[in-house]
Amino acid sequence: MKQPYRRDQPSPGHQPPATGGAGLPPHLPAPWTDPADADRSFERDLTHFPQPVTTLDFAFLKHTVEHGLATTVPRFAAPFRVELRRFWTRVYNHEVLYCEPQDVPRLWSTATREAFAPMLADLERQWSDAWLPELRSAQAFWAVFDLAAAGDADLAAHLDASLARVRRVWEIHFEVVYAVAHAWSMFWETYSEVFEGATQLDAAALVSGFDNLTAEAGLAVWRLRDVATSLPGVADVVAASEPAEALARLRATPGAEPLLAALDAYLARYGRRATRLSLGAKTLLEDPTPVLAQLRDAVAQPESDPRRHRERLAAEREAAVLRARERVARYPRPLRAEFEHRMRQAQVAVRLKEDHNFIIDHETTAAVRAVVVELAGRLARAGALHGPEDVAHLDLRELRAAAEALAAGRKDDEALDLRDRVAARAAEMERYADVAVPTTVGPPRPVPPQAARGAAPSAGTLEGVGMSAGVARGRVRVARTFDEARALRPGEVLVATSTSQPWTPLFATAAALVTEVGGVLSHMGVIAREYRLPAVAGVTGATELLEDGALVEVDGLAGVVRVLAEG
Amino acid sequence: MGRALDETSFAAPAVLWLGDPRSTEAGLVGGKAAQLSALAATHPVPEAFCVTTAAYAAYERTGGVPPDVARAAAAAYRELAARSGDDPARGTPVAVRSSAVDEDGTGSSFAGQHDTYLNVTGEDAVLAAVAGVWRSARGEAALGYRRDRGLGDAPAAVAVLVQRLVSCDASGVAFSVDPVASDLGRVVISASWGLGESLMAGDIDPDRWVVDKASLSVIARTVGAKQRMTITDDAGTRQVSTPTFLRQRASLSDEDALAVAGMATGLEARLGHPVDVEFALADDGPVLLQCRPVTTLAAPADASGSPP
Repeated sequence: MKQPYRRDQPSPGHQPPATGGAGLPPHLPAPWTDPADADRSFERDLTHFPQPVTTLDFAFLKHTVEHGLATTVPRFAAPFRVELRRFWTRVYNHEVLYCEPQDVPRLWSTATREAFAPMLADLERQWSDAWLPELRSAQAFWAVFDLAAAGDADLAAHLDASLARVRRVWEIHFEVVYAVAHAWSMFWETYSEVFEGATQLDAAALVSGFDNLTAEAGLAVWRLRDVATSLPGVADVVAASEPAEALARLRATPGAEPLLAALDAYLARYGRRATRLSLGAKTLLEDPTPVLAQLRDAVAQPESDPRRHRERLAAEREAAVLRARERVARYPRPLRAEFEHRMRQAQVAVRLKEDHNFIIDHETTAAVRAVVVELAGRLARAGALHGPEDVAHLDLRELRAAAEALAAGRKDDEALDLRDRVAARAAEMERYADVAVPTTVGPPRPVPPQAARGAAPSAGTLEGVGMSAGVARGRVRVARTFDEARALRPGEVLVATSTSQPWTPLFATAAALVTEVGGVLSHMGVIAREYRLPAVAGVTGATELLEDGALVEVDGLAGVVRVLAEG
Repeated sequence: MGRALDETSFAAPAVLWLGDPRSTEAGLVGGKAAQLSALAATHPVPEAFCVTTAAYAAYERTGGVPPDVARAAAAAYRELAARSGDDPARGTPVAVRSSAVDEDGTGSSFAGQHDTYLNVTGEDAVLAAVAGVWRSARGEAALGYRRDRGLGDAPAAVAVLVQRLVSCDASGVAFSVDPVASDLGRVVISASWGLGESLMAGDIDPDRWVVDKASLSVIARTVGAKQRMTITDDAGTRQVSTPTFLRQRASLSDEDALAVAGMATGLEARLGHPVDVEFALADDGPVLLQCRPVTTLAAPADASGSPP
């Protein structure tokens, strides 16, 4: 069938009326370098980047995320791609449509779905026979390279090769993400048609409770807890230590060796992750403080064990599947077979949603980070940077040029004259650190933003999207960053912009979760259900509207947060 | 037609099985059941028994189902369950339909004028359905239909057909002639997913096939929207909106459609007139639920349009 739209050319119909950049807040300068941006619509990406990003991180995002998304247009007939901008140190998205806005859902569910049909025939096989081997091969490429032993020339070449590799890894990322989205929407289509009036949470019950790497890593912290409490006096040291000092104190504690060994094993398996997606973020292997903080919380809750939830969740899933099959049995055989197929693909999809994130977003970024850190050390020793951490303020082109200059021994090359540039960019980060920036920039988008439901005006009640069922009360703990989240105490309600994978163990500590972005099938939704944690997503401005210490009730089914008492 | 319900009716049995020699007597089992009974030996007709016009006469006289009729019908139902491989005490799902004495006459189809009960299970429910069919036969809708066609304003004797419910993926109607174009050389099939109720109600857009009789080949195929479908419920049936996946797929394969067309042309040849066949697609092919003469042809059959 002829494509009803041109993939080689964005839709001109999408261009909003020109405004020349009117409507910017007075305290902010016009942020764009491309004048055409003045008439484009941008929306802040709070889901993935609630915090400011550095020059290096943003260059890496353009290199990986923007590239990966762009390839889905020619390869999979995706009706849109996303361009990224860094305005005032924050990440903004600009959607480029290849059709009229109202046609996006139709094209997505026809042309794009058709392009993914071969993968959706057996997602498990696609993962184990195609995607995973390619990812493992990329990881092996990084693992076998001895960074410390490499000469400057080899390191420069390795940087180039790494950047080429990681681009392909991010193409896979969006293959997985899009396939996962299709698997879910196809299951939801049939489920919602057979069970009229059902919610996505109902459907999610049929695909929950399977193992995935994120859940596995979260539960492994509780195994560390078991080791700690089995050793006389050791749990007390964990409980009484500041997480940053816990490791040193444990090393000085007689009898703590089994815990230290278990911790090493944990980090070897799960440690190539950081608390945010950034080349500048130390991995847990480099700095295990977050693990020790989680371990301290786990030790403080001897009666708690999220591992029990998994068994219940799996049992509930099986019961829900049986109930669904009874209803589906009333339908003709082709539908029964298709329902089973779509359910199976959705079950695999939920696992892949976590596993691809673990391997690509975290482990691959950690691998590239290691290359960058090695190079940063050499640049600092060569005097090109004040300190290795200043590498965060270079873009990829500058980094590669510096690596080449270093390799060529050109000490006076301007590619190594980076200090002033770095200082200016560091100052920019500083300047905008606490500046409020708008959620959208430019003319309104033709399609309303996902989070438009937002906070309801009704007094004392915030509305969002129910993400994980259950009702819980607790005191609010606002956490805009993972560091702030560490202050979370058992029984408190975690209120965050969004949460990423390494926040997972906090789900065992929190009484409930409220986020500004996300949805039923988001990472947060998947994991919150695994932990049976009442959770509401899409509460616009939750971190501003809710104050530390306020008593709230979270209804994860209705998607409502009620303020019972101010903090 | 409309024979008097006199004393002699009492000699007739309250229940007769389809295939019983006496079941071809339309005065006793109604037109629909008599037709099916005549075809039961040679065609895939679901097992069924009839609660006869004799039983109806007793019902009319007393205003309720007499105990001996109830006992006979219950015993037959238990037997039907046993023959279907189900526990006689729990019963088996059945379809309960009317079979009036002047129904299926060549002039009037009576389609849809009497209540039909699908997926009825259990003795009490079956007896209630039998009484329900009888009540509807005396209802205003059915009487109006009769008056409009000059059939008199007294209800005809109504037998009730209790048929094993065919578990089917799809069902439909086939005409051994094209009733709209009055083309005698073509079989026209309408089909949809699930039980036939949504299709019979006429308010959905079914899948359609046109089959050439002479070559037994599909001339045209249209996948309809099939907006709604009827499925079984715990008791009875439910009309639901058809899942997108099924809407986009034809409810019959071409092979199924040709099997249905073959059945319709065979019946036409055997009975000597065009037929309107109601079928269900079971595991091993189409099952015949009903066979009526085509009542809406504009002109008498034109031999020149017939296949060789």
